Parts: sequence; structure tokens; C-alpha cells
Amino acid sequence: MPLVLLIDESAVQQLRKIYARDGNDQQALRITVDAGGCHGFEYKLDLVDLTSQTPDDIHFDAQGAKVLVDDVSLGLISGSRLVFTDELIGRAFKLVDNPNAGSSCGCGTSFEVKM
Amino acid sequence: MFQSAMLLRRAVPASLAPRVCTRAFSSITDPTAAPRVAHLASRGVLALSGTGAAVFLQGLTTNNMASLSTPAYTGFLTAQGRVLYDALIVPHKDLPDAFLIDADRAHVAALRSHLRRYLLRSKLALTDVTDEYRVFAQWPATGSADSLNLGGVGFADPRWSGLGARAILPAAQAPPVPTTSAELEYALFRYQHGIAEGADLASGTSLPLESNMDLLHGIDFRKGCYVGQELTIRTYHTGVVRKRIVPVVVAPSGEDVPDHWAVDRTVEWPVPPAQAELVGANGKSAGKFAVGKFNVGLALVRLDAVRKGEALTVAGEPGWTVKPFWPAWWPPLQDHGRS
Repeated sequence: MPLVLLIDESAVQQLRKIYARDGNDQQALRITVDAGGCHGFEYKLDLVDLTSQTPDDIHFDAQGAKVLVDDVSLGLISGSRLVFTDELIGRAFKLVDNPNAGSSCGCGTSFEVKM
Repeated sequence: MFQSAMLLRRAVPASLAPRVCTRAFSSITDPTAAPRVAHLASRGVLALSGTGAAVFLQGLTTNNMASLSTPAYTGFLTAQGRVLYDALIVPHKDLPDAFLIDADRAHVAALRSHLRRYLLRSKLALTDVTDEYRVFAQWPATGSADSLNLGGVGFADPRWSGLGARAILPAAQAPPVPTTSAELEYALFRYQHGIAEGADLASGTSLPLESNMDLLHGIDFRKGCYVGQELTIRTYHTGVVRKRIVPVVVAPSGEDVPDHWAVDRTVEWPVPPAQAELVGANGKSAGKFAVGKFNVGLALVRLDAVRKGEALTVAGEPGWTVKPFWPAWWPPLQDHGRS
């Protein structure tokens, strides 16, 4: 099965805003899955310099918005959608609709992988 | 009347009948007896090492691994808060981030693959070293230092001071204290005190508090997130633990149930099967049988039935009566069952 990441228009717009704000488009959103949280795995999203790319990374480019995911993490989030949410609870990049996730914890940053 | 008495007897072999009055009860905690030592062949060992090993374990287990300098009891839970495996985790004396994990031999392979799922990019070494080590127990604790370190090579069992000492020794190394007993004797000692471990717990079903992991110092309620923490901490804070694993005596129906816990080694009939439903005097479920040998064992029983010392029956098996006992070593539990 091919590994895919869906990048929502809202995420593209927000990354472009950041590039414009910083006057630097050589930045990428790095998505990492770590062991941890109440359900075993948790997402980490960081804004990083493109130079931090390693041979293990897959580089996504959606209309100029750049996203880096290492191959191990991508296996656990493939098919998910990256969105930028702007809600009362906070404005943040989020991964949603992860088809590999069984259950999630209350705050949504931690998930369990379906066996 | 006669008919029902026959029915009650049927599940118990007829050979039992003649020895009703000739029971030789034996106590297995004679305080004057020398401590016993057994090789626990039913235990396996995993070795985990590498930078970040403590942090890795911290997210996966109920006890606090961040500050671990002495051996600790701990549980590995499902995300829904059920116990998959329990283990004693022993930090290396000198090396940081190096641990031995002492778990039921039947669980070692599954525990290893459970942990491997979470390794992701980390370079930790996780190996099954069951063939390279042997686990020994020395019990009961008598108060002397020797009884708590197995002749200098072991450590005090972190679950309960009365459990004595434990040692994980390289397979080639004989313990300095000679082995005196079969592993079964250690199991009977655990049964007497209501201490379940490994395969005694129904993997994927048991709850950590019902399995006494809190009383056995296996849960840190302040450490933060780990797999299965949500249900565990909620149960702790609501304070409702209605059932716990306790010692039981199994007697054939119709015979007097002893009023104290004692092993009858002449018993040859089987105990109820694991997970057999126990029924209270009110006809409602009172818990589940867990494990046993001879006439004794462990069962998960409603605490109100334990307090009353209710004689329980086994659903669908009229041959047995199961009587729960309150472990003497338990700290006073508040009315709602929380320590």
C-alpha cells in the first residue's frame, strides 16, 4: 500500500503565512510519531529548517507548503489529513482521520495503533 | 433432598469422600522455619538497554521508571487500561538505562513484541535472555538482612515486604543459599497472601487495581501519561474498587468450609477453571476464579463478600464451594476500597 499524507488547504495556507511572516520559505512542518501518551503513540509537530532533512525523511510539497515525515512515522500516519484548526480551544496544526489509529485519548494527541 | 445431595456431589470424585475427617492441614508460614529458596522456572527475562531506555519504559508502564534506582513491580496495560503483562523491572547496578525485566515465561515473547511496537526509531536493544538467567525467590522475610537479599546476590521483593527476596542470576551462577523447595511452594505462599502474578492474571481483561497492583507498589498515580493511564487514574480518583484478588479455599460442596486458610496437600481434585464465575449467597455474581492448586488458590472477589467471608458457589459447577479470605497484610482500605 502506498504511503500517503493528505495536506488540507487550511494547512497549506497557514504554512504560507508563516513563510511570508518570517520571509523564509526554506522551512517545513516536521511530523514525528513518538511512543508516549495515554494511548501509546503521540504526534509531534515542529516547524524546522529544511536543512534538517535526513535520508530517512519523505519530503511532501503541497503548493509550496513543505512537510517532512520520517519513514517510520509515515507508516503510522499514512492516510491521515494534516489540517490547521482555528477553534476556541486553540489554533494548531493537527493530524486527523488517521486510519491506523484505533482509539485516541481525550486530547487527541495520543493514539493507539490498530493491530 | 437426596436427589439434590447427589447432584452436589457429582463433580467431586468419589475418592474424596472417605477422607473428610482426616485432613492434615499444614501451615506454610511457620515463623520459626528457615527461609525457603526456590528456582522460579516459570519466569523469563528480557534485557533492555540503550540511551533513553528509562524514558521509553516510562511511557509504557504503570510505575515510575524515571527515578528507578531499585527494582520495581509494574504493569503493561492496553490503552483501555487492562493488564496485559506484569513484571519486575530491575535496573542495572552501575549502568544507567539498562534493565532486566522479570516476567512470566509464558508472556516473555508477547511482552517483547508489545515493547518492540513502540521502539520506532529508537536504537534500544531489547533481547530475550531467558536462557541466560535464572530467577530465584527466598521467602518468607524473617527480618534478618540475609532473608532480604538471598545471601547477598538478591534484592527485597518490591511488591510486599513479606514476600522476601528475589534474585536474577546468570544461568551458570549457583545461588549462595541452597535451593530448598519446588516452585509450587512459592506459588502456594503467594496464594496464601493473595498475590497474583503473570499468567494468574487474565491478560487483556484484568484491571490493575483489582489485581492489587496498587497495594503491591506497582502503580505511580502521579507520574503522568502512560498507556492505559486514563482508566487507571480515573478509577483511583473515583475510589471505587469493588473487587480484588484474594486468597481462597476450595472445598467440595456440602462439606464444612474451613474458617482459616490452610493447604490440604492430600487433595487431588482439580480446582475450578480460570475465569469460572463465582456466585454469592444472593445469587449474584461475586467474581471469578483465577488460579489454584490442591484446595487453595486466588480469585477476584467482591470486597463485601470477602468481608463477610461468604461461601461462594461456582456457576454451572455444583461441586465446589469457594471461600475468600481477607489478606492480613493489606493496609486498611477505606470503605470504598481505596488504600
